[in-house]
Amino acid sequence: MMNDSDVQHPVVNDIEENIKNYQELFSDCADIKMRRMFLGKDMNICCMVAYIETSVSNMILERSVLGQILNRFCEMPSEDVIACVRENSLGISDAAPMKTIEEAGDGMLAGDAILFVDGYDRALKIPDRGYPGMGVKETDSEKTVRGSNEGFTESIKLNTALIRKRIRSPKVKVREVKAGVRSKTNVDLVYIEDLADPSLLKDISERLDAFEIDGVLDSGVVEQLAERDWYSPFPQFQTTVRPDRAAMALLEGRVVLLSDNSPSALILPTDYNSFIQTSDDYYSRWEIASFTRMLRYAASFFAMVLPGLYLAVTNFHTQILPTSLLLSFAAARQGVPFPGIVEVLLMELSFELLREAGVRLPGTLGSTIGIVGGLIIGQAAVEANIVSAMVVIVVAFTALCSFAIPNEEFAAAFRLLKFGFIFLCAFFGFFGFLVGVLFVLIHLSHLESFGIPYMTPFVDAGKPVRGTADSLIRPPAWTLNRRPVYVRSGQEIRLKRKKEK
Amino acid sequence: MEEKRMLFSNNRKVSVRQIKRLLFLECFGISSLILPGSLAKLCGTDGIFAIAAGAAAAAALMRILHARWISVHKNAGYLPEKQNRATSRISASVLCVLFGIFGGFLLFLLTSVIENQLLEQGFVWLILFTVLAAGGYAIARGIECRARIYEILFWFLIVPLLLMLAVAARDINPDYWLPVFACGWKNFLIGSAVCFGVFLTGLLSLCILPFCAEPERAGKAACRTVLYCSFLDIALYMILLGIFQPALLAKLKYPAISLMAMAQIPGGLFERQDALMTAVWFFSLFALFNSFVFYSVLQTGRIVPVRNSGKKQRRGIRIVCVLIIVLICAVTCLLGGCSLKEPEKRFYPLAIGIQPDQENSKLYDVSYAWPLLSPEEGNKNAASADEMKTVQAVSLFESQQKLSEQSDRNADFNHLKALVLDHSLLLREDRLQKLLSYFLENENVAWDTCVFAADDTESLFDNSVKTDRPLGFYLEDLVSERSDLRNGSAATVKSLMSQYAGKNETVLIPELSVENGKPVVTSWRIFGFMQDHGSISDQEEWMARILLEQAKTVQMTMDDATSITLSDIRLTREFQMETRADGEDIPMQNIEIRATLRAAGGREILTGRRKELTVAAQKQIEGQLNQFLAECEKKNADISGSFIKLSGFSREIWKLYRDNPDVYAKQLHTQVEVKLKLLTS
Repeated sequence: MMNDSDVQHPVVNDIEENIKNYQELFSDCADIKMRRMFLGKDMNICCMVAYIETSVSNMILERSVLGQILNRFCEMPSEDVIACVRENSLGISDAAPMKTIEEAGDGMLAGDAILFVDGYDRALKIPDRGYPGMGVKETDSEKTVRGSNEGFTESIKLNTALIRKRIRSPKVKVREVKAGVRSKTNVDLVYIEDLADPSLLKDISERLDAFEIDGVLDSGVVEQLAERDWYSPFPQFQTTVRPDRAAMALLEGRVVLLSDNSPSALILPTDYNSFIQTSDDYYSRWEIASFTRMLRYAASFFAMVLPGLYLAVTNFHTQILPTSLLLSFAAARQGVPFPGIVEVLLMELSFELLREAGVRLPGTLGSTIGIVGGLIIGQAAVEANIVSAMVVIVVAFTALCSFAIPNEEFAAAFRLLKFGFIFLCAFFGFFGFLVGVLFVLIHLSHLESFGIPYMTPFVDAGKPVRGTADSLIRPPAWTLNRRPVYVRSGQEIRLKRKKEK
Repeated sequence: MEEKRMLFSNNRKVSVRQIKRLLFLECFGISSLILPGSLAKLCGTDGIFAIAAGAAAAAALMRILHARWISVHKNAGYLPEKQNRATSRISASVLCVLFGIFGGFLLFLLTSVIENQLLEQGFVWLILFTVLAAGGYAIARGIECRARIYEILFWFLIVPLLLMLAVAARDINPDYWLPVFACGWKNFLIGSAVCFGVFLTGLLSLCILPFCAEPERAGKAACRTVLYCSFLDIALYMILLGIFQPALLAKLKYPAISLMAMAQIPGGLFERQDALMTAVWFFSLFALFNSFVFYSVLQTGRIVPVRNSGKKQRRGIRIVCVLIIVLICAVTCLLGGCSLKEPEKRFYPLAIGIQPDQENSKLYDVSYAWPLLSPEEGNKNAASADEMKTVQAVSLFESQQKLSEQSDRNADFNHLKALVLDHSLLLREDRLQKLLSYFLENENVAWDTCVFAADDTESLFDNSVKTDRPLGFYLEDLVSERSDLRNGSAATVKSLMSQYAGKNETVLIPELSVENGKPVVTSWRIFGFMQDHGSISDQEEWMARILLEQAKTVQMTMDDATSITLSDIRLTREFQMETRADGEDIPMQNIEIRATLRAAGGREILTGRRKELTVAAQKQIEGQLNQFLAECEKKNADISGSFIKLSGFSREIWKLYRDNPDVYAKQLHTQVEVKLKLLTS
């Protein structure tokens, strides 16, 4: 898609020229191996195999596909070798001829081996094991009580395979594009042909084409560059590390965007409701799934407003609290040298620091930090009268609420807005809270993800939106017979009873 | 396919559901805030019918106009586009000014509500700028965005409101719904016209029709919405009447919000909900304000065509505008100083005692008792001992200020539990009225604060008085822990305010004295029609409670030492005019009291003498009650609280005395007949 230079060198019949051009292209690249060999029974046909050291098996001649091919060529009469290569009569499934040296280079950088044969004006791209990567592992985030905990890997090929494993349909299409002028990262758009809205595919393709960047090292880069409302704290792509979540999205007519080297898939379009849903909402019984979902909705609200509301109530509207509770609050704050807002900010920032430290530290140390921060620092701060016990409770409850939001990026928006609410409520009381809610609502009501209002299915446009029921509550499985609004017209039905025999 | 996706992306189309919800909130916000007060003044209880008449007329007019709009714009064109340029500009200018004026009024109302309920005085500019910033942001986001906001908010506002109304409905006194059809045709018509004018807000639906996906359906839906809104207004008005009665309702600034302060949610999670429930009026008034401004801005486009500047440029202008407004807000806030006070920098008087100053007739001695918070108590539940202080002031306002000045903390009256009025204050109607006006103007004090009387108020607010908990809590428990009385029987600030406004009720105020270092209730003052009618002893209280229909159960000992309990007490009243021996016509009230009788000892003891016991009990109670009534008549007290019920029983007699309740109380003669049913199981 995008190359470093516009100059293209065609692959020619003369292998020496090809080797020269190729060596020029990859000069000073110690990790790239170029092996010159001779093929045919008479060993008179020169060839060159180029590959990245770690991406192709070292046991070339023995076990790998490439090794097997070369062994066969060595046993063939010299005059048949070129014809065999040209017609791919060896039946190499994924061997692709490349017209230019640069194309061949791109192919090699994608982790494949490149074979140049003297007298053949193409370079042959032969897939091998590719770049080293982590295998399929259990997910660290988005855990579920029920259902698979298999997670995406850093290899895009493995990731598409994990999706295909779940939806074994030829209608599942994978459109590959390259992103990053220098990184040439593979980005796959995965969708189900007859469910995804073609205009949605066109839209995302246009957005991917709308920028040119040197490197795309994670799907997060694509996400931010393709977003329309870049200033919004709310993500307009849904990320997931779970193949089953991605497969579920595909079945709803949505598009999944996979980026090489990233274990996070992007789902689009998305909305508030999708961020609150989890995979096991659909694996568990509807009653408990509905209950936990409502809890998550409440958690998303309180994660944003609770510290602010605490300040508004204690500093402005004491009439809301029962008298005995208010007196406890006031007594607890006796001796605390800071105003309420400083106290809350101190604790909130401490919590954010602890969280950050917990994420950066190795696994075992990370959990230790949580205990140290939560128990020891909190207790010590209360005893030293730096903060009151009530603030510790409020901050801890807010933290619990933010952890209950299933999506990390989505939770981050609430964590950030929380500070806005703290300031608004500390200075303007409940009026500040109302103004804050109003601004957030105006923003969310305006926000869209690929033409779908962010507050779908709670809002409708022109006519009622399908799939409204699957929002605050998760209705019984039999009633979830229609796909949500994302699906293309005419494909709404996803569940129907078979006729009884 | 493109068309289908356009449904969801800034197509400037709103659905019928969105119109209904937006219109409902807009109509309800303004009507619930304006109508109750003005209707109470004009129509009293007949305001219910005025709302119905006004809403029906407005809905009918809307229906006609919508039908006309649809017939003229079958192709969904916009009326002004079909006019010639000059006519279009004139009509646009008129509409622009009209919407601007309404928008300004709404902004004033919104600011007033916020200032009154959420912030202290002096933050008008801050509120104005913030609301304008939010309004500008919402308008910049377009019609769809505004419709979506209220589509989401609808249930979040309506469900708590309905819940609060249901909770408040428990405290309704049906007597306050009387008299009906008493305001006169003129007032009724004016009231209906006011309602009609307010419900014409529904005509805004005409302005939204060009943006509606299904304009044919929208007209009918909008009319229905106005009618639904009127149903809720009627329910709200009935609850307000049942709690405040028309006279007091007419004096309240924002009765609907005051109602939220009165309603007590079971469980005691929140003490008062008025601040929280202000959200309903904040969002609904903001919706209407925003609609007026939005439609006004639309009209300006017809007067002066807007140049199409680049998208980036417009976004830049918007961001700069928002930043400027936010900056102004921040500066205003810092200059004005925000009204925040940390909880430990306040003190919370739970009991206040007021008595006229002995030396200066214009001054009051106001005594405060508030729980002491010690740092040592820290995170434990503190507040065991009281701190007390007495200040002299001409009003409660001034005393509050003086108290704050003398301390390094601010007085917070939001948690006042007991108000002790000196006996001498109850005798001076003018001074009491002046004092009570404080509660009308200052909404901090909860109206369910218990009221007490005392001969020597200062002796109660003395450190020698020892209670096991703060004085406010202690006094409140004296009257609120009574399981033998019905809800709402205790004398509260609200019952005094009802007298202050209506002068048509009788209330029993507990009278305190100090015994063994503790305040106790020794007698009860009969306070009716804003006048003190003397006191009754603690032993006579049960009779007054029965006659006032406040007793749930009564326990007493008969002359033969049998302990009996009366329950399920019901009163039936009859009124008639009778001519006395001296030729004067006086109102006569016959009360029949029916109750269930239980006697101590159970079935075995009672066998054989059930009838005698019933007859004896009837006779004794009847005798005691009639004797008690005779004594009260001498004190000119309407101890049965009959005046408030009079219009429901005898309209003629009520008409005679409607303007002279004190004459009624003087002349009233009451006879009681008791009928008991013995319960042996």
